[in-house]
Amino acid sequence: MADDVWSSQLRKGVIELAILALVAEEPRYGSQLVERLSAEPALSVTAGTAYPLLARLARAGLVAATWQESPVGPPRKYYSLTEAGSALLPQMSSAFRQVSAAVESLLPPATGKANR
Amino acid sequence: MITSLDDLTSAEAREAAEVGIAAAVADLPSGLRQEVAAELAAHLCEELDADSDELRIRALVALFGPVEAEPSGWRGALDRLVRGFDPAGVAARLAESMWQPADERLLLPRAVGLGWDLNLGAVAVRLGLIEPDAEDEPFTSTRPAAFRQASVLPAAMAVAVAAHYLARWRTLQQRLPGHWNLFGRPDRWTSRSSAAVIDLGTTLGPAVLAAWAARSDRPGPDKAGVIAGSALIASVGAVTTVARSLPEGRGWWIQPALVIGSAAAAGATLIHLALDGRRAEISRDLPGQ
Repeated sequence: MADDVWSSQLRKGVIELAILALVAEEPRYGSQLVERLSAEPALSVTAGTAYPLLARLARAGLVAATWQESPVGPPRKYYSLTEAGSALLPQMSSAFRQVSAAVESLLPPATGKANR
Repeated sequence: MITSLDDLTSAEAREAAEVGIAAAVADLPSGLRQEVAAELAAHLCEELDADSDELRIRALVALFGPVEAEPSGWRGALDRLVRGFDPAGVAARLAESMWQPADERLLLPRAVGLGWDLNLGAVAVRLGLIEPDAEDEPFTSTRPAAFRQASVLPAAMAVAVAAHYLARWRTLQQRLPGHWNLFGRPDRWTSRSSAAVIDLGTTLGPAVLAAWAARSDRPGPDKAGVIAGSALIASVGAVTTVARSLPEGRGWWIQPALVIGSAAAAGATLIHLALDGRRAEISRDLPGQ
């Protein structure tokens, strides 16, 4: 149980970075982002998590949301990186890599068994 | 370290800080925003120098992470109860708790008092009526004509109730049901005159309020909350009027009709307003659509 809660909190902390990285590659719409993130089990999120995050990133001026024609069906709202988001992403990526490397250096080798 | 955001020498940096803090607390209930914003500003000041630039501030703001929308447990319940007595911002909070299409939960903590509100936005998404992100911010792009159209619903119910009492006054019983139990049987009675005053009041009052809100300069979410709330109350008056005119004034469907009718009236109002906001945004981004 505690592991699930902790994993969930860890995932919440990095999903924003993951979303910014995905829209930096190319503009994407909401369900496309959910689908892409769900392809990575460690980053799997529901629409109920992704959409509020997208709204917060848009309010912070890091992503822009615009309606675009869709080849199949009605228009879709696509998210793209703003200038501010483009400037911030490298800093966030660097910070994540530094933290990740530091934590990795402290962890015991993976043995597949729980410590007693 | 600085003592206030006003110490920042760059105007762009000050603006970035203010915009970032406002965005971070936007999801919080209006009664908490100022307090939390002050705490976030103090936290920022500890990390900044007077010549800190906009990029540095945006990086710090991004590290705020999710700001909890509600304190949990009894503290959250007490907070909601206290806020229920604060009239300022009630309409906007009503719209917030009844319309959150981006949030997949069907029940959200009640905006006023204790309990839960049905998240009609989530219902609309599940029914395929609207996308979770149909609007950048609910009801902020909705056009004035849509608000005026939405205010017609409570007005129509008021007209229908008035027409009913005018047309059927002579044939109505002198004593009409004043309240029904869960099984739809009257457990309190009132005079025909009192019933008419109550029913006209619970439809005409909201109709006037909705018409005023639709034509006011209040922000879109405020207007949406007032109009949807008016439609909800007016529908209770309208269903009650119909129920009072039943033979023996009873029917098993009365209580379900009151609940479903009020939810449907509020839901139809909010969906209409949200769909107009969606159309406005599409027109903005795709001229000619």
